[in-house]
Amino acid sequence: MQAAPIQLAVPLKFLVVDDSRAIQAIVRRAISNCGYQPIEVQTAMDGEQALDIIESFAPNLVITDWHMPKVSGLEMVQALRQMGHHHIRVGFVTTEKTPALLEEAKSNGALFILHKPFNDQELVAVVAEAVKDLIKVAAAVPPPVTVVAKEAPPEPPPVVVVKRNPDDPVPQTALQAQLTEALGNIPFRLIGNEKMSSDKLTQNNLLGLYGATERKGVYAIGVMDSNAVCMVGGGAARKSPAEVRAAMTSGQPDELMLNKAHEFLRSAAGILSESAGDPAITVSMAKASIVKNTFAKLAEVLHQTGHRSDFRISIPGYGEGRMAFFVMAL
Amino acid sequence: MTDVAHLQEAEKVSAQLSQAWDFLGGVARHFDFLVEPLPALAYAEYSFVLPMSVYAEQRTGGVGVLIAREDALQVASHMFGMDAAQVQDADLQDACAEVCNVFSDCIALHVSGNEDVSIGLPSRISGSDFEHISQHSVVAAVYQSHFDAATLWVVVYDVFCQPT
Repeated sequence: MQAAPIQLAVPLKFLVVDDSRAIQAIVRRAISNCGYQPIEVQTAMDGEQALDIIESFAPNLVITDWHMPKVSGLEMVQALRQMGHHHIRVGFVTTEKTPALLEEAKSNGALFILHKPFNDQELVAVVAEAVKDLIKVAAAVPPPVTVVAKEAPPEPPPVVVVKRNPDDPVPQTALQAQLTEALGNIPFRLIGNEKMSSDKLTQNNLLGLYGATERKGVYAIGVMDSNAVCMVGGGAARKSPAEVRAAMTSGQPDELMLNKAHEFLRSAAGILSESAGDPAITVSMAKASIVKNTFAKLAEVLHQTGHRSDFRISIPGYGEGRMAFFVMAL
Repeated sequence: MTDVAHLQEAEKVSAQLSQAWDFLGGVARHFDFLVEPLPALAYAEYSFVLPMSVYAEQRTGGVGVLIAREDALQVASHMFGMDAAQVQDADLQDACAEVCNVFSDCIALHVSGNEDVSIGLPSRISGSDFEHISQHSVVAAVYQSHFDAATLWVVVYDVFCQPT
């Protein structure tokens, strides 16, 4: 005999993410057997669709597959956290068993990882465990209280000592700190020594020209491919992964992304000043503009063998991009 | 791996395929590991494949499942919780793709301890695709399961060549 359902004051909301409608049906059935009423269940076919639904639906628990087209379950959870949805609970129903990946899911707050094949009781058990404290809250909803959160003072940016090395004008640690300042809590990976070359350029690229005190002409050049522009600019503007990916696909960052990417290139002038060596000089960005990958001067710069720092940046849920800095006149 | 160890592994795979079918199709069903000589495999209406990259051995293997309509109906009606008469072709495809996915995982567990294996996404293949795969791929193991008139085949490829 089935126990009487637990009546909730507010519906418990679930989002089931799986590219198989058949698995969606199995998970949906198991959720309805958890014994809570009322419940609301929505479904998504991949991580990208899920991220769009989450914005409006605000589920209590997301139950997601791992391997899906477009955006995987793990990328979706990482993007969710980047977007500030730290409170949304997530559990995986998957065939994935690679320990390192499962650990990554847990470090992103996955409450459970249930492997297929499973039986309904196992799923009911992990779902019930994941939402049990919400059930108590729902049973006795307190009257709403408006609380004005007192903002904590912003933390000062990390102090990075830049070593003077003309052959590496933008050290990775310094750029890492600059990116952290631009991207806030968005996790990213900066990989150094990934040489930017003409064949790896995107069609449009952002070129920053730097001048320096006591030097004539262009002191240094910074290049961001359009993926890096979208990712750094979009991340700094707190754009959603869907918006950033759309911009990356079209190769057309919007105005705000472009402005934020400009700001980022401008901020790199500080690093170039620090690493310039004796005598001390002050580097500042004179101008930045979009250039085509066919721009002859750009190809010339990319052939430069020394006095350059090259990077690849990877942001889960966004993708990958490249940037490089070249000192032209020492 | 010795022949005995190989057979023991194959028995474990058979047991996991049975468990997986129980989850997907809702009925207990036995899977047999076939030893040489292998039978000629025939294309089935719902045939799906999934590539599997084995990084440690720098090769792309794969898994194929050949599902007859009767079995496809069984698995889809169980997964969607509806009568077989109500099941649409899209439902059959969806359910069989998931069979391929879950079965592949049962097999990946026994390839390099699943540490260095990356599983792709399942895709449905046509009869000519199946011909191409049969001609250009290397079969490592075959499992079969009979139920009523239908036979379900699970093919493990050591080297998997899918038409581009």
